[in-house]
Amino acid sequence: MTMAFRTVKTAIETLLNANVGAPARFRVFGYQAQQRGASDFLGNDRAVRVYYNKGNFPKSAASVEGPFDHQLTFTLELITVAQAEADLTALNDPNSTDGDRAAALLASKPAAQAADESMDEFMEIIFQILMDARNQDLGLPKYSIDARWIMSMDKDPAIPTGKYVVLTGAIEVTCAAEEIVTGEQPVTPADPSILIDMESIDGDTNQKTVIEQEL
Amino acid sequence: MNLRERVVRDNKKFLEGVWGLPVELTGPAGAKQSDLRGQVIYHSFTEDPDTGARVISDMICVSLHRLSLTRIPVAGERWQVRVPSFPNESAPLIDYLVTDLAPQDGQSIGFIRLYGTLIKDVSP
Repeated sequence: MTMAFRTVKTAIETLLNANVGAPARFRVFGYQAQQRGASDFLGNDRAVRVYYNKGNFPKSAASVEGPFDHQLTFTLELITVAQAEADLTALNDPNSTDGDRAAALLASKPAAQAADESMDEFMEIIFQILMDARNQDLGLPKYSIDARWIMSMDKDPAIPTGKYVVLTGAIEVTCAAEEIVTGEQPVTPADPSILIDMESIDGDTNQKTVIEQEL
Repeated sequence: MNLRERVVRDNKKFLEGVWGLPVELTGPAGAKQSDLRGQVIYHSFTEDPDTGARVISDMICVSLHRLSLTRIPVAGERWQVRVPSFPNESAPLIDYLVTDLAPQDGQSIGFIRLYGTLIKDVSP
């Protein structure tokens, strides 16, 4: 049986893919991709990498045999790549005057500004998708997960070197799910259940304390 | 001619001579200089900010001689620089905007270095 954290990761990936829009506003990777060149992102200049980052298992929130409460943390790594923007027709037209070119340069947008604006918009899109009340269960059956929440959004400093400006950021998404332990080698139908017969309390044979493993 | 004057002269010959490529420069007031030649470096060694490792970055660096310029770019100004798309005299020119990285001034021996980011055309 697939553990819940893997199902939830796939659910986030599926949900984001379903909201990419047309034309595509970003691309989704379900893993930590190798480092890529900035030019790989041009044309579709935003990408998000979704991966399971860490999980906590509060001991007080689980019984001995499970199910276990799993506090999940996913990292959504955002990448934007931008070029400077300017009216090249005005700048390169031989009939342009100095005034036309000056106005075009004044109205130009530096690549760092374009990258920053693109990242802000990207964070807004991802936040709106994941925190939408309709996506409370991240597209999974109701009550599959609990307390989905965006804990933080971080933006890194822009990487200034290169003909493109690369800006990265991260969104931390948390939620809780139940993990059922079936064993690494699941129990076969021939051995359908496990009964743990606890020590009888004070020799009380009529009221045995038992835990039955749910299969 | 003293030693510094000789270095400045040699540097001009080096930047604009056989190693030079055609460069067009448009300043913030719109004045265009199309007769320039300069040294264009298409890739530079930089440091990966995450790991500190030395990497080759496709950062363009245009070195021009100060005496050839009608106006010297300063930090904070927006300049358009056009250089051949690859190191060949007749290659089509591509457009860069000088703004994100301040020009590096080699005033003592008479050159200036400009760094640019590619321009995306947003003509109406």
